[in-house]
Amino acid sequence: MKKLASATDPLWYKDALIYELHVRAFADSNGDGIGDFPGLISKLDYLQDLGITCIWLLPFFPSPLRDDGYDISNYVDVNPSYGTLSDFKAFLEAAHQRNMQVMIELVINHTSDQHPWFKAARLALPGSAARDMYVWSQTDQLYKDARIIFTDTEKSNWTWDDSARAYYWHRFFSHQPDLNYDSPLVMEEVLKAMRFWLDMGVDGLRMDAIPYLVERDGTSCENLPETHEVVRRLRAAIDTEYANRMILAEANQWPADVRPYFGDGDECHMAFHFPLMPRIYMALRQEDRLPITDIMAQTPEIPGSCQWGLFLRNHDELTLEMVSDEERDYMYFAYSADPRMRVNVGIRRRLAPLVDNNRRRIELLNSLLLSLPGTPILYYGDEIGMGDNIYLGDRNGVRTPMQWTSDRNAGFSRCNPARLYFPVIMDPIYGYQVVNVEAQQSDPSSLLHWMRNMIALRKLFQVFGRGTLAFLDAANRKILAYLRDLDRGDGTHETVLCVANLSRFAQPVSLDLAHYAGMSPVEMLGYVPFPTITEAPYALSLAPYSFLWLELQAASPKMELCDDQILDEEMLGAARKAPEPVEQEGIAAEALHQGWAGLLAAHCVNTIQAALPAWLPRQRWFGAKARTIQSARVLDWAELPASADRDTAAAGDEAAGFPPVLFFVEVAYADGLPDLYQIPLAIATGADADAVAANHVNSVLSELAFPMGPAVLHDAAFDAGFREALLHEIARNASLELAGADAGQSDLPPGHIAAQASSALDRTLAAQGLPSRAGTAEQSNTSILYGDRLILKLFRRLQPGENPDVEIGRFLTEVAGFKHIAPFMGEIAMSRNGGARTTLAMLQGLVANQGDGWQWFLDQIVEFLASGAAVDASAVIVPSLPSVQAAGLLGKRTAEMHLALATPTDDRAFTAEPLGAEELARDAERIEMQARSAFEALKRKLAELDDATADNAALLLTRRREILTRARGIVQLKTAGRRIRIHGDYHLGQTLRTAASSADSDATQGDFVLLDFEGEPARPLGERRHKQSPLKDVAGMLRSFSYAARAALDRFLESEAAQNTPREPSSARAHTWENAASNAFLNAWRAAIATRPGLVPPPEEEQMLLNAYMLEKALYELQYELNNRPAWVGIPLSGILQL
Amino acid sequence: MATTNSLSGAASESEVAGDRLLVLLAALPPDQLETVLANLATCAAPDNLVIATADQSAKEAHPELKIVPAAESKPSWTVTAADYVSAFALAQQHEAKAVLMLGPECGSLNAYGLRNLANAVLASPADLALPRYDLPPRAGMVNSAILYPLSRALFGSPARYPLAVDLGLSLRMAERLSIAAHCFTRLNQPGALVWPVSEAAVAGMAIREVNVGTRAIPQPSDPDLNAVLSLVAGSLFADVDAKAAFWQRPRQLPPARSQLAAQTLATDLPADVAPMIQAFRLAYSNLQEIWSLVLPPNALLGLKRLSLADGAAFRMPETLWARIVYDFLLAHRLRTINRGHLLGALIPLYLAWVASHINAVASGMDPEQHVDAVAAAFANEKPYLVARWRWPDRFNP
Repeated sequence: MKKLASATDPLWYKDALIYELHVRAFADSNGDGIGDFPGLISKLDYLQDLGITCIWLLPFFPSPLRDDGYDISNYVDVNPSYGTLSDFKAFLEAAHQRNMQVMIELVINHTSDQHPWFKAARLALPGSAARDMYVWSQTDQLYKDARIIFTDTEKSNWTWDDSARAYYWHRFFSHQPDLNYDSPLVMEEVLKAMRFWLDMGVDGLRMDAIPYLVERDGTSCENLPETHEVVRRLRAAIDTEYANRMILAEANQWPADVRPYFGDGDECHMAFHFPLMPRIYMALRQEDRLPITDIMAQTPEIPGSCQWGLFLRNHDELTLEMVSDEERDYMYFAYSADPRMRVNVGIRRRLAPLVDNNRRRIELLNSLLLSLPGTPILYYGDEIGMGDNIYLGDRNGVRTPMQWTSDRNAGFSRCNPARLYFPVIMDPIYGYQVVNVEAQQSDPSSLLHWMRNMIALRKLFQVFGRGTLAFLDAANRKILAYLRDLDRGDGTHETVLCVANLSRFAQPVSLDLAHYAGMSPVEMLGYVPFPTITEAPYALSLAPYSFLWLELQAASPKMELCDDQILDEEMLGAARKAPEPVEQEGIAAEALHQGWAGLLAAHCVNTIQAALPAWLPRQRWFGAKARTIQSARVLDWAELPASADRDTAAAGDEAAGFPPVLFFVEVAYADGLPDLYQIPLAIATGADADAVAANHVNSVLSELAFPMGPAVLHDAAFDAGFREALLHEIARNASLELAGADAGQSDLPPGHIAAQASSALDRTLAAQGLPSRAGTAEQSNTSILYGDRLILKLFRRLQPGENPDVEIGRFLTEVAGFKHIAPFMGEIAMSRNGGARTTLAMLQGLVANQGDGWQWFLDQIVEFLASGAAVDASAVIVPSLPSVQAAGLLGKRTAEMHLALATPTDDRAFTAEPLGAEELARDAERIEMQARSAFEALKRKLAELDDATADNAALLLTRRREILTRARGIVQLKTAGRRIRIHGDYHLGQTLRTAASSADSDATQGDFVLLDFEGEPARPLGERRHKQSPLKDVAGMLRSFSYAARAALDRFLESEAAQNTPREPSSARAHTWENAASNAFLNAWRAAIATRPGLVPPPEEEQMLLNAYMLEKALYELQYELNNRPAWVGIPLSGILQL
Repeated sequence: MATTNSLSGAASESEVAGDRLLVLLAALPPDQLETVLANLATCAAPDNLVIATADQSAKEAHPELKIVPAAESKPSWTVTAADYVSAFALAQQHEAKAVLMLGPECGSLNAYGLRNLANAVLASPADLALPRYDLPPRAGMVNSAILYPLSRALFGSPARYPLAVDLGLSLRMAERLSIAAHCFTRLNQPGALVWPVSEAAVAGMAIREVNVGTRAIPQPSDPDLNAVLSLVAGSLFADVDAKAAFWQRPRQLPPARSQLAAQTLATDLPADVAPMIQAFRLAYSNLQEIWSLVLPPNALLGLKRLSLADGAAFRMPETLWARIVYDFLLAHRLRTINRGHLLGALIPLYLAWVASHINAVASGMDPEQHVDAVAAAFANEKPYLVARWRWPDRFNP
């Protein structure tokens, strides 16, 4: 079994924040002037707070310290100056407890000349195993093509050893002899050392000087195939025995030469990107992005499991090996004015002094470090802007003690200052009295706080560690802009746009983000929304040395709201009062001048389509809330003529150029067929926009960034101009052309919209400018009221064909002269591409009323229940109740409606026909299907029902067969009457209670008007236009009485009047009322319908047919309640069982 | 109009019968144990039911049931890390498809509720089934004030009781919770809280809330508000901190709860809000120094206004409360002050919210409506938290 590491994610290093430190330089716990492990442990909380996830320790092994510990004399111990192995283990455990991984050095190219292996080798016989652990030669001319790295101190890679009487090979200092990887013993010993630390729990190994492991004559002795073989063997050992460990290659090479060290994912997990670092400094100084984009263009792809290590500074010099001679000269001139700042082939300075301690430059470079692809590595002290000491030798100037406080020795050690391993920085700019952790921790505006925040922010976005990189080619080369993108694997992307100004002056830039049109950038530091991206160039201005990180999010009017969230409007209204961001320059002014066509071309249509899936489910009229919307596609649109108000709108009112538009949108779902919806939209700006947002927040589809300020695109039903325009179009029998997304691409005739007034419409009304408002009732359509005279029903879900409400309304008004409906006044219909005529809106006369029948009956029943009449007495009292008598009148009006619908006519759509065996069989089949569907739903939901309802449900399920048999029974009927056009969705809510009718003695107490002949909107239009038995309407109303009784009972029991009233007696009274009302209704209907013999069958067949239709209706209700109102399931259940 | 059934995951009894359910019971008095066993027998066929309890006397009394021993756990009023570890181990051992964890005093749950919980994870795609209890309006105030709105706003969870003491878990959910709990148990913190909602949300697992009716809610042995708030809020704050990368992405919120789903039991006796307001006013005088380290000037101004309000008019705006909780959450993350002291400083503010809630209910507002208004405020103010979290500069409005 593999030995686990502290990290659980095998790719942990991709998301890591690595902090490089030297134990010697970090914190001294015992006052000897040298940092140690106990001191380091005491500072782990600091590192954790900074956000570090991995600590990289420079060599801490026993060593003569002639190369800062890279000259190791014992691979498996700790330098006594830093502590003991136990101290290291304690540190490792403490780091892991803080969820920090630990990476140590594996310096395997060479050892110290004080290592016992080398001491033994010098004395061993040539050819012996001990001798062969190092590379010996009798001549210094071997491998002469290998370059000398430390040019300042070494003249040759060979040094003569008197004891061995041979030259030994060293690529670095002469006191660091190279190990000989041609010796099996070396590999064996190196593996032992590696296992020693990995067994202890070390998470990562930095392989020092990895290109130089193997030497071959006639080569540069760098990056040889044999070297890669060594690396593969080390990696194989790790993969075999350990989990979640990491190797980081130090290969100061060109990217193409480093690439092989990743192998096929079977060599190193990480490698430093050496050439990038000097080019970042070059780009900054030259104020030109080219050095960065150029080197990144030369950077090859690496295996998915591999990662680049990025850094701004480290313990070595700012190496200039991987730049051209001219570039090197430039860098020397730019960053090392004093020759003492140079060492070997590089510049020995820390980050802050390199950029003249300019805070904005430091932040800019760190922003690049944290956002370019790779794992960032911070060098200790750079997070507080520590300085360096160029008067110390070698690279020691950047290895001075960490500056913790302004106390003695910078809080690093309590020792005598003279005893410190190196003096602390004491100059007036970078001295520890000024630059230290304590001071910066107490200064909320310090660089330390800034770094901590930036690191925390980076860690929130996996895209930085794992995403792809794409540079944007902005014309202004002082701007470096790039996109990082991560495919999350679930169909979504994490995309971040990074923009950096490399110049010391403010710079403008326009970025081509057309590919992301419709998305909303959100500034990541402050979570600030920026203007939505369009096809047009995206303009930004950046302050000197500033940078922007923008997360590109899918556009949504309120991104935190979900698709099917329907919050209380008041609540949302309050939320909208919060300051909204002001969008700028989102939509070009030229696009606006072209009106809707320009706006839609400027990607507005995409914005609409993107916003609709979240917006639709929040609309009351949207009928598919339970379905998953896959897409919404704008098919056509038609602009309504601008109203007079708009024509005279003040200049500068951008919305004035945009009359309301009827959009026709195809909504596709994850399953099932798509729907076509009519969505009228209007644009509001300024105070109008605020009013819409405040009063009708759910109507807002999207925000638009107009040049003069934000605008909202919203449901036009809340726009007075739109409402007025509709009425005018009907009054003038107008015709409008449809424009479409596919315009010009079809041979079919273009679509159009036709408005038509009925003979009953008084056209002067339309010219009067009646005040209009959108209705608030919850329904599947939208009602618009014009004063107290007219009501326009705007159909939302469109189905090809004439809407039955229009068709029947027109027939009853203009042919049958039936008075008890809202008179039909006109309509608007659409024909698309020569297809069927589709009703869009219907205009009716508004009937003065006392509320709908449902509400009126509910009030009456509650009043009756509150009267407290004794149950026994109810049988006497109830029939004389006004509500029961009203039920009788409603029965009469219903029969009159049926008689009117059966008016002899040549219109085949209304001609009465016999209800024959075929139709009965179809009815039976439909009822049976309804039953099966309802029973399935009941089975699924059985466990969720309360006990009492569950008992009835179980009883019903046991009687399933009996019910199905009964449904099929109507097929046997000899006579079934006639079938006519009927209401189709008849219940109390489809009636209005009106004042008394002087023309009818039965209506002295009040009357009813019958509404809404649309049928059940959930059913196909063709089905709704079928002729059916009028008994279906009767069944619907009888079921409605049942609901009314139950709803009234609940309301009564919740009222104060019912305090301490037991449920049962009231329940019995409600039941009594239901029976009485049903009987009154049915008797009156039968009496009135009898005037047209043959319309209904004889009593016995009539009852059977009625029962079947009542069963169908109750089963439909059962399914509806199971899905929507489980607490009401008991009502249809009881109804079915009673049948 | 009727629409397509959105909860098609409910199962028929026959489907349920094919799957093994492990039920892990908290320690119960004998009479409650009998009730629970009888109720559980209606949840699944005996062959498919494995009941784990530390009380093995039940095994003899009910030979028809498969009762297996569970590890004795330290008595607790809620589900602990050790419970999750134990539940998954037992589920694996007995090859269960799903797990039902029933907390202390689960004898008060009815068979219907237990069936609902079990079915939710056995017969539907839900990985985590959380109960929705019918509780008196003043029960679970910490939950209503902090846990529910915070969980909903940040993790998009619909669960009204994110720290429910009864849970239904799919096997993979049980495994995930066990792994999360193991982080505590290995540090010898078996009593630590684990947050199933956030674990499920982060793992992309389906959460479902089911009605279970009434329940007696177990109380801590030491009903000290300071201790309870420190434990619960502190644990949730730490969990939120650990999952920051997840909840800072824009995500969908659950639908607003339907009125019918909300069942609050009859109001008990009117509560005296005066001591709570007094405690808040006292703290307003004494804790200014600490609050000013945590809260921005606008919030402090809001508290000043609140401190001057009369008893009956004492109403803490929902937005103010949401921001206060968010600011404390941030201070917890930043360790602005000692975390114990920080959560202690939250208590008077919490009491002010409770007084405010009671006043709202007394004025005729439905308690659940008020809680939902609070939850909506948390959702609306989430951008405030995200901005503060990402750039926690004290120099803010």
